[in-house]
Amino acid sequence: MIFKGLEISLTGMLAQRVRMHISASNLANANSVDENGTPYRRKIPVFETVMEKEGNINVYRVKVKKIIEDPAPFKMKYDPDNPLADKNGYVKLPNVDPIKEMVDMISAIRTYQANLTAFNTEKSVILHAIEVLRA
Amino acid sequence: MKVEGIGNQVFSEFETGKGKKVEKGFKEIFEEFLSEVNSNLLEASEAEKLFAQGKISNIEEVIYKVEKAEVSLRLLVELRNKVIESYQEIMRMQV
Repeated sequence: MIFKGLEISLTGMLAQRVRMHISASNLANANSVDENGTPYRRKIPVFETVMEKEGNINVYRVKVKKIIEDPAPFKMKYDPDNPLADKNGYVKLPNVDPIKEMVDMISAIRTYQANLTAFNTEKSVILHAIEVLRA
Repeated sequence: MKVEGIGNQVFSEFETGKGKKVEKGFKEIFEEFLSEVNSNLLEASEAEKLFAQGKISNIEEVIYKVEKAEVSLRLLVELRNKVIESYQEIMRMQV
């Protein structure tokens, strides 16, 4: 099928969009706790390659396999007035580093654009091939 | 560095089909293609409708479907032009 390349780029774009969503969620919850008072844990998407045979050539599309939680320890902040503070006066904050998230988001956007460019290139190649028929 | 020709891996599907007899006529192939293009177009318009209604979660899917429909329609139009051109060529032939 001639649309295989387009499909592959499409899955790449979808994966990067999931990455952007996750980064946004991490950023938004940089200071939140859940309903039990436990701080938010940073989420990380895990991507997986899926092989698809295309004629005699193997092509691989990408799939979001699962979303895992970052096991890194929570940030501790000394804030004795906070209702969630422990007996020493420390409050647990989410293990989200906003700078890291911003960098991750930039990377996601750039990869998305790369996939989009690949999509457009593939499309224009196909259109050029069709153009040959026009005598 | 060893350089291998791409011929034996990429084009082998054409070579295996060389000895075989053509099973389907041009008409069947063209009709199949036509219905495929039509279903692509219907799918694309359905996706556009859902997109306009705000019921779709990923824009990429819509873009893909629309592009697919567009490319296949263009190919179909070019094939149609070719067919008509050959028909006219035959009609112009002196008997």
